[in-house]
Amino acid sequence: MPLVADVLDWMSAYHLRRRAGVGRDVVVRGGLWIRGPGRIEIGDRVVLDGATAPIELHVGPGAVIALGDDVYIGGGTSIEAQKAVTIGLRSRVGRFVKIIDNHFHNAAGKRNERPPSLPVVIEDEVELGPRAILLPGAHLGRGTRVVAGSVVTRRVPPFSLVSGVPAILRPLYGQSAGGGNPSQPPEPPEGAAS
Amino acid sequence: MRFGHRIHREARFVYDRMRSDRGAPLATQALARLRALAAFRGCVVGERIYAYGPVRVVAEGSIILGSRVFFLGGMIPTEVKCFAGATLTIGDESGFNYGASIEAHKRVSIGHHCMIASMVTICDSTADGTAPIVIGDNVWIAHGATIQPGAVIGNGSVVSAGSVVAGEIPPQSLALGNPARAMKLDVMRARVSRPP
Repeated sequence: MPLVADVLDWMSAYHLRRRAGVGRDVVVRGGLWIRGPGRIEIGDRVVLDGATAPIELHVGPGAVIALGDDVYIGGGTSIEAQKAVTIGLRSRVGRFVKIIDNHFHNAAGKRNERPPSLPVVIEDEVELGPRAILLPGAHLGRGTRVVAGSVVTRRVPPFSLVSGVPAILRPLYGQSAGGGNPSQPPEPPEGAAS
Repeated sequence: MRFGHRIHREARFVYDRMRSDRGAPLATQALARLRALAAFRGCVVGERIYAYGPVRVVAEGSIILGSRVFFLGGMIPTEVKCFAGATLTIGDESGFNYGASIEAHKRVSIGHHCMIASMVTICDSTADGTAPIVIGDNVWIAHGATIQPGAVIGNGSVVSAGSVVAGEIPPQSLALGNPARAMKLDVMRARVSRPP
């Protein structure tokens, strides 16, 4: 006898398969909101864990959301692409993360007009803490860690730790600030192989 | 309603969440109006308020909504709470995205044409005490910002994503950081409209 939650999972998975290019062994839990006419590419063994709160994937016309293999997305996360949002292999995105590649409004002048989009790129093995916000133009290098609640607006070098509003580089692995040491990679994220 | 009705064109363009409603705009808008009236029953509301998604309302105090206030739907319901003895005022044509949480224990006032983005928290009471919050006209509060007790935000200002505002933000400025500092808005314009 399947539980209601199981039925919701199946419905979400069915919805995702109809709507997106999905790899092998993808796991979908809980609710999933997919909007917009754009393209969604999902790699192998991706986990979309929307059991606590639904996950939103919003792709505007001609936009692309691409998730690499072994990516984990936490509940309540919202990814809105008007151009492109790319998430690399084995990255982990925490709960209630917001990733947008367009501000949707001009800060000054006409509020109803949209500024141009700047693609957001997340390279491989990045870890985003819960409630982190990635704004247009964010580019996280390989192995970067983003502390919970940080707001990233620009390019972050590989193997570094960023935190704060707006996020700045923090010392990592006993070094001074200014980027990590590429020869000393971080531990692999938990559950990456599962 | 009509295609030219300003607020709906705006809502569709600005948040792009109305796109899926394009097939049946009239029915959706009628439903949104009914839902808003049901949620805000017993409150003082202006003409034509819309709730495109679930809105949880606690109206123990007095809630005063202007005309054409709209609440957009999303994954997480919007919460509007006004506790006993408190006043919550929202001006004309202000819009709220999903997951916004507005709590009034004493007084919260939001001006006209404000844009409150998703997951914004506005609460005028903490364990340290209660102080009124005043938000001016034409203010944009971006995703995930927190407005703390005693905050005063001037007309036309922008609170950037994830910021925490506790003090006074002058008009036409950009509030950024935790705690938020105010800077000139024009600096931001140069950055936002930077070519890709």
